[in-house]
Amino acid sequence: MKNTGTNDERQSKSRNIALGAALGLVIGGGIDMLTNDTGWGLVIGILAGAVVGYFVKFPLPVMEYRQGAMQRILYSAVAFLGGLFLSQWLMDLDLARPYQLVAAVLPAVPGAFLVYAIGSALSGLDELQRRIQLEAIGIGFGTSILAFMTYGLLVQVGISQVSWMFVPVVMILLWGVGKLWTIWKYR
Amino acid sequence: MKNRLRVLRAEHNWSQARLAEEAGVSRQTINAIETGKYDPSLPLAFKLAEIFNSRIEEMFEPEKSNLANT
Repeated sequence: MKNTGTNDERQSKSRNIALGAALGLVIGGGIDMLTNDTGWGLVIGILAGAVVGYFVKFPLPVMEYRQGAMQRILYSAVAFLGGLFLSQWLMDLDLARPYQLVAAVLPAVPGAFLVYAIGSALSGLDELQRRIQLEAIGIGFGTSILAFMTYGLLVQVGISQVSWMFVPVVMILLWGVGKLWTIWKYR
Repeated sequence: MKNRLRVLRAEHNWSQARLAEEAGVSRQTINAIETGKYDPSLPLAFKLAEIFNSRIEEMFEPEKSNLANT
């Protein structure tokens, strides 16, 4: 029983760190826009969010993921972000074209692990929680398309363009909104 | 769909968490079934019936309006 408690505590801690990092990613994305896309807004946002998540227990209903699922997502997300920065650094080195191509697709490798980790975590959920995630992804996907189409039309009438880094941030934010809505619906 | 899950659980003096553990689902799922916000899949409904040594039709009852539409 003692071990279970420790594992639950550890899982809850990882969950809070991941949630904090996700919130930090969203806030960092906003800061990044204001600091001319230096990338530091994202880094600071994620790290600050993870630290806040470590110390603060978010008062949200949580999904009961399989053992270690959140850790796998967290590690592969960190590897993915590391890959993004490494790729950017390599591309700035003015390498020969074949190496530039390799550098450009480099983040896709940890990215594939991230997709696998998320898919694996979702498949370990029970039927209601899978439904909540499915509805949240549907809401997030639909509203993202709507937001980007509207934004695309606004760009045509003179609104300034933002970095592509803003796209995943908006998608994550809208998925989060969808998830909160569906959790509330089945509360 | 109406169900007697809360009644049966109370008869056994079980918490939602205990039933969730027995059924292999989350407490949130048990709560959503009991409050009628979620209808379980057939395998889960059979499992719940088996846990309470009951028949599925004794446990779950379709709403009259649903029956009228069939």
